[in-house]
Amino acid sequence: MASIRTTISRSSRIALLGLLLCACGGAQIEMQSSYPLPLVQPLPVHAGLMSDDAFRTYKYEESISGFGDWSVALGRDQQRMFEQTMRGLFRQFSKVSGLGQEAMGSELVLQPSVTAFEISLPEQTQTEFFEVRIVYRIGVLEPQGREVTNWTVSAYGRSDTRNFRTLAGSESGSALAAATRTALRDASALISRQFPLLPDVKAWLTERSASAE
Amino acid sequence: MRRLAWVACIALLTSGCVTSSVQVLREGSTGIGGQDAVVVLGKSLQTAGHETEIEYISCVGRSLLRTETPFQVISQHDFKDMTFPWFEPRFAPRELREFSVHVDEPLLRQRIETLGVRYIVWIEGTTENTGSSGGMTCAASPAGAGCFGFVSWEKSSRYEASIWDVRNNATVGKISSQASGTSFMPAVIVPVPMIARVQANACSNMADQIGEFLAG
Repeated sequence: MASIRTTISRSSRIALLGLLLCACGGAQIEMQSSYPLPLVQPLPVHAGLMSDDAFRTYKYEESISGFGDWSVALGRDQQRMFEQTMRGLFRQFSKVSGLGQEAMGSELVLQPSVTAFEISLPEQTQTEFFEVRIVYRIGVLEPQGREVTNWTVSAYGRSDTRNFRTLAGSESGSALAAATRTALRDASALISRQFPLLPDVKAWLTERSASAE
Repeated sequence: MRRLAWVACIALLTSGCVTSSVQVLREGSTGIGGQDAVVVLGKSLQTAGHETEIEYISCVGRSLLRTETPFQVISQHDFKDMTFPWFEPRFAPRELREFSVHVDEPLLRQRIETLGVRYIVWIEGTTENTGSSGGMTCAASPAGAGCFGFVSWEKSSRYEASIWDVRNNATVGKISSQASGTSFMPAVIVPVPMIARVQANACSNMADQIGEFLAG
């Protein structure tokens, strides 16, 4: 019987490598997106954004058994997203480094923190979607530190892997980045539309305008 | 000329067959001028179900620019950014009634007027792989390499466009486009793929019909 030797061409080797990489899974993402200014009626308030280092350098890391190592560095993006949201939502916006003297000039200070970040892979949910859920806790404070309210925002984003297929397979990193970007936009949309409707914020605005008269 | 003939021949030989159909349902009169803009948006859902492919939405937008009637086309990306957050998945209007509530917001109404948006075209649907058959074996030896066999796969597209007249606050019509096709790859030593461009076909049919529909 003649022996048949299978040779693998260069292009096949690249495709095979791509397949192997896909099979191992995992992606490391550095988010670098821009976010639009919300088209909403600005509140007549000078607001300050107080974010700490943990927020500005936030990086999610998870090793998912059988699906590799995943990381999403979204600190810079979420900072940018909050800045843009507040620029549109308030008459005036500035970044503040603390309360009291450091928040002078601001009438209201928003202090966001990430309380949860979750990703779901298509293989886990048996769908074709990457899904991202981000939960923010936003402390709304007066410059002297009195709490106006404490708000939890749960944002969601997903991306269809069919939009990210190439000849070498599905681009998991790009799909996860798109889902994260959608979740950040969802957070911005939620904040810009629902913040003015929060009962505690409405009461604070009413109280403030009454005391100004 | 000769080169063109060769290219045409190769294109014919290497493309699979696509059958397509388009249905138009008119519910109101239309008309569009050079200053008017059209936005093509894909239905993006936060619940279960496939999203319309980004590539398809872009393709319809690009193809609309090539239709005979001159008007402007605003891309989905630009429109969503310029009207943020009103067309984000969580808040996007699913019906004209919801859109009417949205445009009560003076800033949004003003932005839509500034952009000159006359029509919003909402597209939903997808292209799916509907089946495949056959098999192929490839082997290589010091004497040479080659493949033998025959593989075929089918794709089916189904899209529907709802057209809203923003100025008159009315749904003016719906256009459905369906296409299906089978791609083949016979191999006698060398595999020769004959690809059926199902989605591209559904896109150009849809864009042609939208262009004609809007012209009135």
